[in-house]
Amino acid sequence: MTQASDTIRQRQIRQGLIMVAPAIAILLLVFAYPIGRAFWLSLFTQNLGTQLEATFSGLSNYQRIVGDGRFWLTLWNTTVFTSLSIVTELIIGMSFALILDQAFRGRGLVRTAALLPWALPTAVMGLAWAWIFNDQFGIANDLLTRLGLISTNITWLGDPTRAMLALIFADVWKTTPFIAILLLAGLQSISGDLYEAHAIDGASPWQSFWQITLPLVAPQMVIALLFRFAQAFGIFDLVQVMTGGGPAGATETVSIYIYATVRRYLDFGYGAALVVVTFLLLILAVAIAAYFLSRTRLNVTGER
Amino acid sequence: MSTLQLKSLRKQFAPDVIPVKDVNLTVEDGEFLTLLGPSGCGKSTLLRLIAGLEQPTAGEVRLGDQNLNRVAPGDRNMAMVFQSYALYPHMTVAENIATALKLRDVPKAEIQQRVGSVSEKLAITHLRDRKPSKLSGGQRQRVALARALVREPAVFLLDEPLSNLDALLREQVREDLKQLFEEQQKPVVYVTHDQTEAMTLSSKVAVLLDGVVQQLAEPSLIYTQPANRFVASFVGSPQMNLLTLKCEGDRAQLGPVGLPLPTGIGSPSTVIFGLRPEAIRLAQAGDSLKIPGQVFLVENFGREQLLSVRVENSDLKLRALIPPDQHWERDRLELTWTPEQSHWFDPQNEQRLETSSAAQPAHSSL
Repeated sequence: MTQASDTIRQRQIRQGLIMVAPAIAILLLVFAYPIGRAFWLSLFTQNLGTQLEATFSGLSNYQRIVGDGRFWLTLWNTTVFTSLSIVTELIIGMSFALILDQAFRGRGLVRTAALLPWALPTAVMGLAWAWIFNDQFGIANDLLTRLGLISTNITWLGDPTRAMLALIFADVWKTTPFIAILLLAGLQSISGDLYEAHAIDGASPWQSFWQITLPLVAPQMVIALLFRFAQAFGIFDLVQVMTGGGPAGATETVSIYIYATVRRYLDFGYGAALVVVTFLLLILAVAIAAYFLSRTRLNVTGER
Repeated sequence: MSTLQLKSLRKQFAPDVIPVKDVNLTVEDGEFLTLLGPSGCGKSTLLRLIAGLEQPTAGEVRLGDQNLNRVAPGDRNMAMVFQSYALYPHMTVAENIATALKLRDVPKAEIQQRVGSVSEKLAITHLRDRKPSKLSGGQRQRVALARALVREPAVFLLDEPLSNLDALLREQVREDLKQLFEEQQKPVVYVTHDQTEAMTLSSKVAVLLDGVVQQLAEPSLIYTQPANRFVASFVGSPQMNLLTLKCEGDRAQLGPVGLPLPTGIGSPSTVIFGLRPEAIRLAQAGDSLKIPGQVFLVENFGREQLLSVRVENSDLKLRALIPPDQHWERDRLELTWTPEQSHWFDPQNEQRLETSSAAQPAHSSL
C-alpha cells in the first residue's frame, strides 16, 4: 500500500520536474545569467581608459561608488520621486476605487475611461506633459495666467524643485488608475454584510472606512505599493523624455545615471557595479515589503 | 418596555418589484415572531426594513412610541444576526463581540466584563483570541449570537441564523436559541423558510407570500387552521393533500364517495378539500367513511411510511402517513379520517371556508 503510493508520488515528482524544466531553463537564461554577468563585470575595470579591455580590479568599482556624490544624489532623487508619487497615487487611487465601487449608471464606461492614462505609452504621454509644462507655449502656464494666479510664465522644467514636481505630477496622472483598479478588486471582495453589521453595531461610514475597509483592503494596498515601488524606482522613460535628468541633474534618477555611465561614458565595469548596488537596494526594499505583506495576510486571514 | 410595531409598511424597488406590501405587525416584549415564507416572499426585506438597512417606501417602523423611519441603523438599539454571520474577519472573537460597545464608547472595564459574561454564557470563552476563519460553523454562529446579546438591545433580529449549520447541529442550536431568547424577554423577529424552526421557536408566526402576510397566529393555529390554501400547503410536512372537488348539493365528490360539506359554507359548485397525510389512517370494520384506492408509491421514513394512493374511479391522489407496522393490500385498501380534521378552501380566492361549529353530519358511502 505505502509502496504503491510512493511510486505514484515519485512518478508525479518526476513528471512535475520534466514539465517545469523549460520554464526553469528560460528563467536561468533571462534572469540568472544577466544578473550573474553583471556581478562578474562589476569586478573589472572596462572603460575608455583601458581601451575597453576588461582588467580585473576587485572591489575598486565599489569603493568608487562610496565616494561618488552624483550616484548618491541620483539615489536621493529617485527616493523622493518614488515616495512622493507612490503616496499620492495611493491616496488618489483609493478615492477613485471607492467611487468606482459604488453602483451608478455608466460605471462600466467610467471604469474603462479611468484606465486609459495607464494604457498610454509612457514616452508619448511624457512628450505631452513636457509640452503642457513648456514655459513659453504650455497649457499649464496659460491656464494659470487666465485664472489670474500668475502674471509671468513659470519655468516648470527649468527649476530643480518644479521639474521634480512636474515629473511626479505626470507619473501620478499615469499610474493612479492602475492602483485604483487593484484596490477596486480588493474593495469588491469585501462582503456588504460586514458594512451592514458594522452600521447596526453603531458605526458611522467614516468609522467603517477605518475599521473595515482599510484593514481588509490592506493586502491589495501592499501589493500595489510593491509593484509601484519597483516601477517607480527604475523610472527611466518619463524622465528621459520630459527633463533628460535636468536641470543640472536635479531630476536625474539612478536609471538615467546608469544609462549615461554605460552608454555615454562607456564605463562598463563601473556601470555594472552601479547596477549591482541598485539591485541589492531594491531587493532589500522588496524583502521588507514582503515581510509586511505576510504580516497583513496573517491579520486578515478569514472569510473574504 | 418596548413594543415593535410595523404600520402599513411598504417597500417598492421598481414599479413591479414590491417585496413588501402593506404589512402590519406588532411584537411585544418577550414575544418571538417568526417571518416564515418561501424565498422571495419579502421576509428578509421586511427584516432589513426593521433594522433600518432599507428605507420604507411608505408606512412606519415604531419602537415604543418612537417613529424609527429617520433613525439610523446604529441608533435603533437593535441587534441583528446575519445569515452569513458577518463576523469581521480581521478581528478576534473578543474584538468582534466588543465592536458595538467600543463604538458606543462604553468604558473598557465594562466592555471586558460584558464580553466575558456573554462568552461564558455561550461557551466560547476559549475561542476569544481566535480569528473567525479558525472557527467551525457552529462556533461562528455562537459568536454572531454573542455579538447581538452583548449589546442588550431593545429588539433582536435574526436572519436565517441556522441555515448554514448541518442538520444535527441545527436541532441542538434551535433548543439553545429558544432558551436563550426566553431569558431575554425582548421582542425577537426571526426570519426563516424552515417551518420546523418557525413552529418550535415562535410564540407567533407570520406566514408571508408576495410581500403580504397570509396569516398571523400562534404556531398551533397555523397548523390546525391555515387561513388559506398557500398556508395549508406551505406548513406541514409531508404536504397537506389539497384536492379540488366537484360538489353536488351538500356533498363533495371524492372518487366514488360523497363527502358531506360542512354546514355554513353554502353549496358551492366546486371546493378545495384539504387533509393532512397524518390525519389519514387505514379504515377498520366499524368506520363509516371508507375511501377505496390503490397504492402506487411507498416511501418509508422508518418512523412511519408515506403511502401515495390513487382514489378508486378517479385520478385523485391522497398521501397518507401510516405507522410502519400496519399492513395493507397494495391493490386495494380503504382509508378513513375524522371529518373535523378536513379543511375547506374557496376555489376562487383560496381562503379558508369557516365552518360553523355545529357537528358535521357523519360521512356515508354511496
